[in-house]
Amino acid sequence: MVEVREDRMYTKSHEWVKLEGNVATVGITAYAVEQLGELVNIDLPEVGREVQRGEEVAVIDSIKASEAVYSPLSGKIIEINEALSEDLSLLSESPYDDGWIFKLEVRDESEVSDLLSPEEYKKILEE
Amino acid sequence: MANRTPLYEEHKKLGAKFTEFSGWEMPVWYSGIVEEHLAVRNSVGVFDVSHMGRVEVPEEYEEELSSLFTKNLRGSKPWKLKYGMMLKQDGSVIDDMIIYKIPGKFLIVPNAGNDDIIASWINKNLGKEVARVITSDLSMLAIQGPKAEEVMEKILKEDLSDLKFFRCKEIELFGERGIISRSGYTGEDGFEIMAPPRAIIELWRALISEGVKPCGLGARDTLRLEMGFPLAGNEFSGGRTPIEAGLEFAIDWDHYFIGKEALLEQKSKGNYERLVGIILDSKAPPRHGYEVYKGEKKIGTVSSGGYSPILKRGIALAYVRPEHSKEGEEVGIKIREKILNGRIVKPPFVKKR
Repeated sequence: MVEVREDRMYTKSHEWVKLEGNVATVGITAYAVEQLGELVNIDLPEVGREVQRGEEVAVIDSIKASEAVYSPLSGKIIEINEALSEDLSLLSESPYDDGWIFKLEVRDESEVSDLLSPEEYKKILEE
Repeated sequence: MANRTPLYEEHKKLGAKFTEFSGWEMPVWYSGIVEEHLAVRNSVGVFDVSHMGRVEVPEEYEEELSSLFTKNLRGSKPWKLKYGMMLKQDGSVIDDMIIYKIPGKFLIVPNAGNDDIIASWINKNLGKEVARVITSDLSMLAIQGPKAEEVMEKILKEDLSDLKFFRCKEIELFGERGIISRSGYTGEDGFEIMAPPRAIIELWRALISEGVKPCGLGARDTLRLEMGFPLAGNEFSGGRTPIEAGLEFAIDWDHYFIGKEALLEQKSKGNYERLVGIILDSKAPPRHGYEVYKGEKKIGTVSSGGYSPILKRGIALAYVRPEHSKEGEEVGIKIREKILNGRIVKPPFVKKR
């Protein structure tokens, strides 16, 4: 079973969310990276953009396919990981740390309770 | 269920990830598409290409076969290969293929899944059963890269330096007889070799032991795309002709062939879309069917697209309006609602070796 970190929350679409106050750092899980295969390109969102929960904010191209990254929460994008544009190996090799994708100022704290716990996410992977 | 080549267990042993291609379960990668691609460009890689078709026609039907093929096969000398196409009356491509002339017969290698189609086409036009499908009698490998000659000479204990490009010869391979040609689909120096499955499996194992990288269909596609080589299912779909596809070099106009009149008419009218190469400023890979733009105007469609590991850019082959098909012309490809900038290049995208 691929790594699932205990220190964060998850979505059904394989994003992870780490909350510090009202700032959420978002990335994709080790499982998602494995499914994508070789990464060649990432389209990052613009800083300052307001997004809704479930909205497509980024796209990752692999050699064979493209996958969307959806925002787990509603809010404003305050930072993006520009280093990924130069070096996608940060994402493929360190999806939970150096491979973070964007940071969000959370607008609606109540949405957090709809995120999956590590246990719930692990169950999804087992199916 | 999809067909498997005799090397299926070898691919499983090496941890290949499989995909289905034209009815065959084939390795798409072993270690990774980019890694395999670079191994072929920089060193040597081996592909199982046993899924390709193999059709035999006795040499006495040389004249008739020639009338079905864009290259002139009359007076064919043995041990030479010819690349060309079989067309319908309207000039559209049925398949592209290599035809080997060996003593006594023509050996046709059409694309995977097209062996029955090509054999039927030949037999229908000749009015008798002269073409025989022998796909499963033989297996086939492609060994490609600057070190291909060195490693093949070592394993075969045979001098290959005098085997020129698009020539073939008979060799002994682990007690069986095989045919080796200097040819390939990657733009690198290399060989393709056909022989009974048992011998090909031995060759595969020997190549792997020598450190040759096993390569799958993923790298096969990125390599041929960098060269601008057509992939039948993409570049010929929708009734494209060799004229549109820029493959006039594969036509000998000095003989009759089915589709010739239609091509001449198309050439004289001149108003047809042309296949061009496009290199994007970005790394995003275009895909088959994506639209090509000049400003706000749609001017064409991508037939093949992907990522070039050598150029580190998205690249595509696309059919575009003739007035926008000049080398250097700035165009865009629509990827996910956004038009990404690029320019037209004449393939190959990467210099042939």
